[in-house]
Formats: sequence, C-alpha cells, structure tokens
Amino acid sequence: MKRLIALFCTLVLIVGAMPFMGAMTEEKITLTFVEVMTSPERTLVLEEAIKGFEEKYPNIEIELVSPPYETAETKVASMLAIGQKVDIVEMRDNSVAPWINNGFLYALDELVANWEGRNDLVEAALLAGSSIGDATYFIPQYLYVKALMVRTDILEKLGVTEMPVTTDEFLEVCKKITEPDKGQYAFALRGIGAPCKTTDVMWVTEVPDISEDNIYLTKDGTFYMDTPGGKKAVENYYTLFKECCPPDSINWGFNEQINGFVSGTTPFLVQDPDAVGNVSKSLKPEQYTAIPMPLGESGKRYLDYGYAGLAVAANSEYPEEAFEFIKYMISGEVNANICEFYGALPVNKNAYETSDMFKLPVYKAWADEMEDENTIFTKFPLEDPRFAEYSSTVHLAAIQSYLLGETTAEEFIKTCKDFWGY
Amino acid sequence: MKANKWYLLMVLPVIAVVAFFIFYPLMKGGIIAFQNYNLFNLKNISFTGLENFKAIITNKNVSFGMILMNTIKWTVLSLMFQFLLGFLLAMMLKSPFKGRSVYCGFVFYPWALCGFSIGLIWSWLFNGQFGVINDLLMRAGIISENIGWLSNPDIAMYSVIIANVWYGIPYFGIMLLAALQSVPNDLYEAATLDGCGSVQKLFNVTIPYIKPTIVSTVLLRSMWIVNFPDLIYAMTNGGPVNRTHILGTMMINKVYKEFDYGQASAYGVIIMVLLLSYSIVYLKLTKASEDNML
Repeated sequence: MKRLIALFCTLVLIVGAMPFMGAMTEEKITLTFVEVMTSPERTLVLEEAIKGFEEKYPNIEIELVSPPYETAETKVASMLAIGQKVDIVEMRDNSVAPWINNGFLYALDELVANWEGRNDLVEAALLAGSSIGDATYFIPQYLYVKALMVRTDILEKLGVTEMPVTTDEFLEVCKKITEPDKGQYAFALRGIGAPCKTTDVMWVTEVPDISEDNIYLTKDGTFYMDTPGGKKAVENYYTLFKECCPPDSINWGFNEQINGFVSGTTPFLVQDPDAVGNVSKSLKPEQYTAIPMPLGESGKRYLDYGYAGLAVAANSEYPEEAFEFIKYMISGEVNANICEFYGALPVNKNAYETSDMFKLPVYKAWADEMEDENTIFTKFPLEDPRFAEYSSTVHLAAIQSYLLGETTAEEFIKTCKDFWGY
Repeated sequence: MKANKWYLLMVLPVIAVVAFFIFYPLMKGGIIAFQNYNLFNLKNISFTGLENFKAIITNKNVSFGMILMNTIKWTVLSLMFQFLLGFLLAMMLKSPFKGRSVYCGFVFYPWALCGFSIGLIWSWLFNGQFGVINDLLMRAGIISENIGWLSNPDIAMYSVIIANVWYGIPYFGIMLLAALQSVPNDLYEAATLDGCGSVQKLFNVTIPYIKPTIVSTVLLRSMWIVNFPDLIYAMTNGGPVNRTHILGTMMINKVYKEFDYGQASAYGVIIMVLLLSYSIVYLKLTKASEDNML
C-alpha cells in the first residue's frame, strides 16, 4: 500500500512538472526553406549561412529543400498551392508575380516597419521589395543591374583608349573595331533568353521621361518605341547587329555571350554583375572592366533592378521567426558572402565595406551607376501576366525577324505595340 | 473462379500504379486543356471550352500551321534517315568481323545519352563562330565563310534534324540487327539456288521476314520523335524566328516561360490526337499490305 501511494505521488509530481519542463527546455521549431537557384556549390554556401543562423538562434532549425534548378519554381508554386509546409521561399523577379497574385506570400510590411536594418539596404532593394502587389512581399537578396563590360586589353590592342560615354560613341567604336574577315567583332548580342531585358534598357536612354513604373511607357503614356528616340534606337540596334556582331549571335544566350567576351571576339558585353563570376574564371582582372551603360539623347540612363530574394509563405506558422531568418541572410557579412559566390550585387550597403570582392575596380561601374544622378530606376511590368509571353515568345521572334531583315523597324515596333495594346 | 480472383488480386497493384501515373495525369491534362489554368491566377480557374485551342490556332505571333509543318518535317526527315542509316548499319554488323563488339559499343553509344546533353554538344559543334563543323569544312576548302547552322532560319531545322538522326541511328541499328540475325540461313540458301542476287534477296527474303520488326520500330520511333523536344530546346529553343518550334517545344514554352498550363495542355491534347490518328491509319495500312501479300 505504501509503495502504491509513493508511486502515485511520484507520477503526480512528474505530470505536474511537465509544463515547467517544457518551458525550461525551449520548444525547438523547424522552418522549411526552399531555394530555387539550386546548384551543388550554391547549396553549400547556403548551408554554411544556415549553420551560422542556427548557432545564433538555437531554438530554430532550418530545413533546406533544394529542388533541381530547371523545375524549382514550378515545384515551389505547387508546394505553396497545396499548402505544403513551407516557411521561407527564395524567389526571382520573373516568377514571383504569380505567387503574390495567388496569395501565396505573407505581407511583410508590419515586420519591415519595425526592422531597423532596412536602412542598411540600397535604394534599389527597397524599391524592388514593394514593386509588385499592394504590399512588401519579399526582401531582395541580390540585385542585377545592367552595365557595359569591356575587354580593355582587346580594345587597347585595337587602338581604342577612350571608353564610350554616349550611345553614338559606342556605335562608332563598335564599327571601328569590327573586322569580320579576321573574326573580330564588337558586341555580344543577346539573341535568345528574354532579349528584351537587354534591348529595352539599351534603347530607352534615347527617350526622355520614361516612366519609373513601366519601362515601356513615357510619363505621358506613350509607348517608348513609338517616339523618334525609340525608333532611332531600334534602327541603330539593327546597324549594330549587321555591322558589329557575329551573325550567329542571333542565337546567342548567356553562355555564348560569355564565350564571345572571354575569347575576345566580342569585347563589349551588356550584362548583370553575376557575369563577373563566370568571366573571372577565364580572365585576369586587368583584362577587363565594366563601365556605366552609355547615355542616349535623353541624357538619362534608365535601369531596371532585377533581383532575387526571400519571402515568407502565407501559410507559415512562424512568420516572425521566418523573417528573423531573412533578416539574418540580408545582414552585411552574410549578404556579402552569398553574393561573392554568386557575383550579383549585395543589397546591404555594409557588404560593400566588408567585402574585398566588391571593392574591385570591375564593380565600380555598378556602384557609380547606382549613385549617378543621371541614373533613374524603372521596372519591367513583371506583374502583368502578358510579360512572360512577350519576353519569351513575341518580342523574341519579332526582334529576330527584324534583325534578320525579314521585317522592317516599323513592323517590329507595331508588333510590340499591338501586343501591349498601348 | 477462385484462381481468377487471385490473378486479379495479383495484378491490382500494377493496375493501380499505371492508373495513378499514366491515366490520372492523362485525364487531368485533358481537363486542364479546357480551363484557363494560368499560374498567375490560380484562384479563378474555370472551364473555358475550346478557348485554349482557339488561342493556339489563331495566334498571330506564332503560326500554328508553321508549327505543324515543322513537326511533320522534323518527324518525317528524322525518321527516314534514322531508318535508312540504321538499316545500313545493321546490315554491315550482321556478319561477324574482328572487333565487332567494340565497334558496336561505339556506334550504339549515342542512344545512351539524354537528348538535352546531345543538344548541348551539337549546338557547340554547329556554333557559327567557334564550331568544329565550320572549322573542318573551312580547312577542307568546302566553304569559304562560316555557315550559321543554327542562326539561319532557312537551315536551322535541318541542323537539328542532323543531330536527331545521329541520335536515332543506334535505335534502328540495334532493333534491325536483332531482326536480321533471326532470318534463317535456309531462306538465303534457297534464294541462291533459285538464282537470286543480293538485291533480290534483300527485297524478297530479308525485308519481308523482318517486316513486323520494321513496322513496330517505325511506329514507336515516329511517336518518340514527335515527343522529343529536348534536343530542339537545347540547340535552338525553337528559334530563330520560331522556325524550329514543334508542338512539343511550344508546349514546354507555355509551361516554363509563360506559365500557361491551359494552353500547354491543349498542345498536349493536339499531340495525342495526332499520334492516335496516325497510329490507327498506320496500323490499318500495314495490316492491309500484309493481307495483300498473303
């Protein structure tokens, strides 16, 4: 009997103490983080960053999901659509609009408002984060901004010492150095893979007063290609292709552009900073640099801010903890480490102070561009469902047809204008 | 009766797997073809009847007629050369020679590769600036300036067909070699006694004997070629100016570039209807010619 009573009392003590035991050993939560730009090397970099976060927050465990690159965004969309357990998602500018439109992402405005670290972000990052939808749905982690990469060693060999500042100077230099018989061309054309993201940035500089909300329109609502400056830019591009680009470049994607630049065949290349990582594997720093995009007749340089970043899933049970993870990934040193691997521009101003890589001369162009008073940030209408079809099919076929001489500049402009209905 | 129930129970798992992985996606894809299923707006999916098909057929930026012709050209030319060269290869490998097995390993190697990697290899071979093919032709004095194999809209389709032919020869080589090796020697001896030459033996003994293999391999291969967009996707992405787009690559574009699952499924339904019709006609014709021979 005594034993029974003793056993009963022990059980009562244990059951009674359990809530307190739960409080003393803090409950560990697991956040699921899905990346979309998967590669084996990149996953290692993310895992390193995650380790640092888990050391800082021992009660939070991050489970990294790495779907294959080609199907990652489709997989994420499916996971979000069926309400699978996802807390943090990586997103890209060209695929985040559907997720926002479908209500898959958590509005971060309240959390961002209380976040002091937002003042450490570059202006373009703040603009990008609220550029789609009626709230802030993501925090960019890297920025992609176009600049003109130049093979200084090749140009020097060809007698060019002054870098072009205006679009007219750029075209003249390209014509001067092109000698097809010797296999020497000037410009690495982007023939496939959304070429409009290069051409529109190159062309709008000829048009004054481009809208900051839509790169295709001027502030008074005119389709930019329908202006004298726009038409001039389109026709100059034809001349650039015919006289200064390899004929095969009508079919060039990113890899071929890099190959042309690295081989010296095309010493001018309009690209984002992540190209530096690829180029630096084959070239020494003194062989190339980057300069700001040439200025057109408007005297302004209109740049779009491409980006990839992090968002919180709408059905996450732990949005605040998920945002803590995002804040950690965007913090100075972590942002710098991840961007160093990727080559894209960090969004955190402190990253430019701490990272030796982003102090390199080649990155100065992007820094100069972003701080230049003549640079105005605008954006592509990524939230418009038609942009996907325009960039991947309509504009692609139309510009190829134009450059191959099958259609005129007027017909090309009409095709683009009719599609948008501007 | 008890045995029948037992057999049914044994095949039930297989039926379930096939139903889940083949019939369900087929049915679902068919339904989506009649819906406005776009990733941009998953909250407002509804039946739209034939709108997706109408959008595909009347698209003024991408001519459906051109896509259909491209698909036919891609299939017919690839099939024809794969079969002829594969048959030739099988005839050459039929008789034993020293090192035949090693040689077989090399010639059948392309079949082991995936379409995408073949596309990447051939896209660099055909590269207008740095490609090996232009380099060899220049050195041989056959051409004096680089050819835009993949950038010239008039010849890009033939370039991807060449890559596809290279890929598909081993399939016919393997299948027809096995069929040729099953032809009894007695028939050839009898034909020799009857005074037949090599060509007569080929058309009167060999081909009739292996005809069932030819019929089935051609049918299968043609269906696979229609559903083989990987190579085009890797080499030209359907360009330049949509001249290498086939039904399959348009379907991929609709999913991965435009997020329009409705129109992508519509392309899928069109492909399925075309292949079904083709199979029925093909089998009827081949059966009819068999009946005539009997």
